[in-house]
Amino acid sequence: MKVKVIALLMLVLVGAGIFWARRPDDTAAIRKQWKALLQFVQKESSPGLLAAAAKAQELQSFFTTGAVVQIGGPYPLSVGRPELPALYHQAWSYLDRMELRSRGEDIFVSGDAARMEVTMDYDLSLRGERQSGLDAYRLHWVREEGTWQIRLVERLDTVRNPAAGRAP
Amino acid sequence: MPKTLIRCLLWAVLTYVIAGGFARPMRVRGISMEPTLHDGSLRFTHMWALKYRAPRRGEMVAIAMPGPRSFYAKRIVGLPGERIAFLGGDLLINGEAYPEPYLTDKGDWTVDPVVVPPGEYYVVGDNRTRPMAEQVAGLVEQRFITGVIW
Repeated sequence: MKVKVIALLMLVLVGAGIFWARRPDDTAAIRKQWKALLQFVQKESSPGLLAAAAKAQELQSFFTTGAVVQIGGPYPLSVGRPELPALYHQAWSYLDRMELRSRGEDIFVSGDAARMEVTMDYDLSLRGERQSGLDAYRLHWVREEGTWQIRLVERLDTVRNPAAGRAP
Repeated sequence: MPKTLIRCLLWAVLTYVIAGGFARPMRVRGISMEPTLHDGSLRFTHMWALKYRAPRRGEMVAIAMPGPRSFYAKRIVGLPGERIAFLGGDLLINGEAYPEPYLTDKGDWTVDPVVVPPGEYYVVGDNRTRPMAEQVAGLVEQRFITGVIW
């Protein structure tokens, strides 16, 4: 009888623990939005031009109106939200395959703003040639009308390269 | 029952000590440390090695990236206070050429001198075939250097 009570108690505690860990909160909402964006930009096959164009336009919905994306050295690229669809459509047209994975995020929330530091794993394929690697970025999120959107993307330079930005 | 429980606890502690700290397994991704570390190879990192001492020149170290699972693997070539430069592929420390026996191809990097600030280190990969501007290399704060790769 005692063993049954202890077993039941442990089950309740484990259940409560799982519920607590998986409770919906801002961090979970941001993570969910982030995963949706990663899923959205994947390319494994070639859709029609119209579908690709529609997809490029829809990409903007993940970003605020004044959002800026800075990819970082050695050839720094800074684009605003209006330019994102064209850039994405270009990448989509050139690449045979595009896969982006998040290998870990650290999220810090403060009211309606949040900062996310993420390690990105990318795998690109162009005319049979494959390029892959790891990079770290910092994303600044804001909550607008209940939805978390990206305001700024900047490369996270844990290792600061003295030769960066001087490439020919 | 108690003996089994004790054995399980001991194994759990041993696994944590070895795999979590003393010899944390890591899969190498990328070619920046070729030929020393091969893409896809398995290595171990001593995550506690730097808790009680500073990193040393020549050591391969794990540098923390966001999230718990990813690290840069680089080699320390410059210590705090030193003036580090590259000239035609040669590493210069305070103006003097410093041998790098772990390299098979030193490349042709030429990089202006940089003084390593206090609390920071100069790290580079062993693969010098690509321009340094295109690599993850340079100055890193000590707090991001989390372990020694062996």
